[in-house]
Amino acid sequence: MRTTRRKNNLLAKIWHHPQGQVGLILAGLLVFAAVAAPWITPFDPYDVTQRAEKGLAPGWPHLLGTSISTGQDIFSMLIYGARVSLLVGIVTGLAIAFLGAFMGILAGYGGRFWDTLIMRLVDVMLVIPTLPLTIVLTNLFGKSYGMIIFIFTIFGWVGLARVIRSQVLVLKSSNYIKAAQLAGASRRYIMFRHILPGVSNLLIMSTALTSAGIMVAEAGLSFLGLGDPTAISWGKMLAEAQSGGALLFGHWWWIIAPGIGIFLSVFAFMRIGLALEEVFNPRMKRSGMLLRLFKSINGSYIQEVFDAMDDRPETDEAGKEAAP
Amino acid sequence: MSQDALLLVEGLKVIFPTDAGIIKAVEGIDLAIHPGECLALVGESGCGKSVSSLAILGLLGTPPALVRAQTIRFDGQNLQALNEQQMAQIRGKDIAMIFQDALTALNPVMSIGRQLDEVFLKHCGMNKSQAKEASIEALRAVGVSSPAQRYRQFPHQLSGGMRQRVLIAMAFAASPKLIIADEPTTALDVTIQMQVLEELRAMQRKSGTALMLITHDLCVVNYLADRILVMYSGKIVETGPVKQILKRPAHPYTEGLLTSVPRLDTCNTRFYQIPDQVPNPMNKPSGCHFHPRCSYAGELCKQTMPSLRSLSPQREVRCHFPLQKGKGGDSQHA
Amino acid sequence: MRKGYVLERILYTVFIFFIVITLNFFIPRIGVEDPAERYYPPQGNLTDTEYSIIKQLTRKQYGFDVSGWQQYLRYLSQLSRGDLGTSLQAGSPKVSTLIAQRLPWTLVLSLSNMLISVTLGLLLGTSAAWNRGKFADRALMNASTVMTALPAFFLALVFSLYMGFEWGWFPAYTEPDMVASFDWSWRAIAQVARNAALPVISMSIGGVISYAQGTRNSVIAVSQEDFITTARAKGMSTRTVKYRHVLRNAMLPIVTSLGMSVSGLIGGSVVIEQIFNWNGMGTLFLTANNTNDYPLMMGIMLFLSSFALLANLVTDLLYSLLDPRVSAGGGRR
Repeated sequence: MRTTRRKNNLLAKIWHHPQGQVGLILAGLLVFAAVAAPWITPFDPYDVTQRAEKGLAPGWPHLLGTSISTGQDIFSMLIYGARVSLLVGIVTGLAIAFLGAFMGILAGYGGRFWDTLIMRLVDVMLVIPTLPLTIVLTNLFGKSYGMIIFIFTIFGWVGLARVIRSQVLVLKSSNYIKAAQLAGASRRYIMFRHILPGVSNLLIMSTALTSAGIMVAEAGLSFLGLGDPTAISWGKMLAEAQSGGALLFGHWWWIIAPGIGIFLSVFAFMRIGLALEEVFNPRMKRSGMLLRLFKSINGSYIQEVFDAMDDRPETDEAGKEAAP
Repeated sequence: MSQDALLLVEGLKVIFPTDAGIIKAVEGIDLAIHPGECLALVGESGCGKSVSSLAILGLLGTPPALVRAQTIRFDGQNLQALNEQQMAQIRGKDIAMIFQDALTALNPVMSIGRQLDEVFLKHCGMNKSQAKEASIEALRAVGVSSPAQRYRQFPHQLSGGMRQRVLIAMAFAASPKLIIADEPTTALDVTIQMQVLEELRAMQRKSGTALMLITHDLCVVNYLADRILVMYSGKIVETGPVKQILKRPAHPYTEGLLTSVPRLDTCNTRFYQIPDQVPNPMNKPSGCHFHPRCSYAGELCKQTMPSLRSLSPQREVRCHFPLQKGKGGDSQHA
Repeated sequence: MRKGYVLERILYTVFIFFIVITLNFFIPRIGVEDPAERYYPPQGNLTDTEYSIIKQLTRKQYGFDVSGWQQYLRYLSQLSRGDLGTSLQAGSPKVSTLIAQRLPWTLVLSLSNMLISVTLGLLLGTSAAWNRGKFADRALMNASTVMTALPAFFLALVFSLYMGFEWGWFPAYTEPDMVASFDWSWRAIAQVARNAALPVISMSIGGVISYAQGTRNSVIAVSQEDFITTARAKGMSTRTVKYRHVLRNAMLPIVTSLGMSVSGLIGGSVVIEQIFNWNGMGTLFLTANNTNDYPLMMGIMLFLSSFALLANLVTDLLYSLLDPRVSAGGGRR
């Protein structure tokens, strides 16, 4: 109940932040596109009977033309591609948030044993090259987006855990935690009721930014063909474009379209994440704002402010009541 | 009197514009320091004392601060007319500063020795080996043990007291005429404070440097200072010789400060505190800034800001109902 | 004091190395009953009995005929001799040989990328930091938000399309004779440069922005520290303050990120190499993947991990030289 009220305020704050607003609108549009894909696309790219002439340039009715290899409508594929990106991005972002928070809090607050263990684990994972490992694992265990989400989560929690752990260490030495300890609260109680809310800001912000990063990574993996071969994704569209000869024949729309898709989704979530950061830490005014503030200051108003500080010449005189 | 002043500041005003409002940090203060004198600038945190010293030295950037002053004259020179390069010549050499928190005030990746050498190299025209000798000697003079070894060490390897001594050494290095010490002992253990203060006093007496001491600790003031300026919420509310003011304060705020110093010789059951809090620098009370917390406040105090008036040739106070009458002349009451 | 730190780091690295080796050993063996099954040729027309003999021989050939522990020990001793395994390719070349062939080519791309990213990034970042709010700074912020949302491989495709195919400035696919005909002559070097241009540009745009952003933030943060005010109060000139005091401190986090990016130096260019058909480790790995050449894949994995470990170690030690707070006890964690 306390957290939902908080979330409402949070959404309102992002909405009022100029860049946050952009992010939210974009993200909303993308989610809409992903969910409503079967209804809003002019063609069904999965339906083999709806294939058209191959390699058409943008025009009517194929707004972005058709693919050279299969004659599918590129615009429809673009809309469908949002599904994979958003699904993988958001689900992974949330999974990483959970795992990272759990590990980070455990490491920071659970005692030296867990701290050492988890930090060693972090060191090992940081050293293993992620892309090659993903390739190996999909080779061994099959290509699917579930596998990709799994692998991203296994690797992705590491960075977040480190950041959360630092924050937990700071919180650990704060007075209200010490007070709770003195009052006899159990370790688990403190972890859930005090530490977790203390890092929740960081967590929410990281989730947005992580999701953005995951979307980029997913595009790369799909491009290499490591995702579900039957699904439509922007990365895969780029791969098909490359192998289908878009470069050779100059079908730039086939390349630019999925690229813009990737760009918009990443951009939207990054904006949300950065807006959250500024909402949570209003400490440093962005450089442009301060300079603009100074430029726009009314010089005569400032002069008034200064003049008002001077001592007035004596108008009142002795003869007032004596001090009580 | 202000003719032979080493540092003369008149009408210093500093504001910080923000989009939430304008922070009025310093609202027109005057001060004068004479050669060899120790002047204490006293007040609670946030009253504008540190900002004043930074403003005098031109260390406040223009965003975020706006500085105006009628006069800032040092040793006959108008500091406001100097450009950055010329100011850099004066800083460290003629006017030096000692900052409060020695750990953050020292460059963590540079050895103590190098940081000291910098001053000698720039302001005393020495070469590297001369500067090194001078630095080690300076460390010895402030009471740092094994100075040659400390020379090579880094700030985090020294104790708090030693770091502060290093700052003192850096300030005295080029034999400046004026040193501004901003809370030089506040961040230290009480046991170390005394040692560092003694060091500071000895060095000041020996070299005849003028000292502007910024602090909220009246015991330090008593120990080191000749004259005192009491600041509250950006304005000077009382000035005068230390002994007189500490014995018979004229401004209710000064009285409050004195009363809140815990005493070992009386059996008080509770500590006294000036009620309420320091005013928000963006939203100050009307009239006299102190009236909400003042037990002597009257109607006039809520409406009009009192001017700074002389109580005696040596004392001034900014109050409609000062606690002292002054020795004849300008008395406020019948 | 310092020696202790160095020793500690080295021992720790060795420890992690062993964990990595063990992981590398186990990964292909997870979840399969018979780890050798990936090495078996297809059954084809062979009868079951004939096939089981083939399987036995295959197992023996690849060392799966002994117990798990013995396999592990053999693996360790093999590694200690520098043998990363034998590829399943025709001719059974050694994995290490293949890596040695392809590694320099990947390094050409990665090192050029790093060089450009760091130098340009530092320049742009410091100039943005010291001109806050002005054009350089705002331009960087805007570029940063745009560029982080555009993956490098997408840029690569776009550049390939325009600068490669449409306008013919640079070859869009690596010229096939580049590797074979390389003879250290100026002609050959020019050829490599020509072919490397597009891949390097695609990678370094993101890199420049990233370093520039990091440098800018670091410089701004350091400029607001107390000791900078002290330096100015000592009368140090603006130049001295900027370079000797600010930069010296601001560079520390940059060195850390530099170190981290070095570990990804080799493995990170897989996609780019594929797009341009560049003859490096990335394409080697992809080929291994396509042909299910497990020894090659795992050998490359181990190589990459070891490289990353080494890079981390070197970075840590280098950092401790720069930041005196580290060697005197307590790591960067």
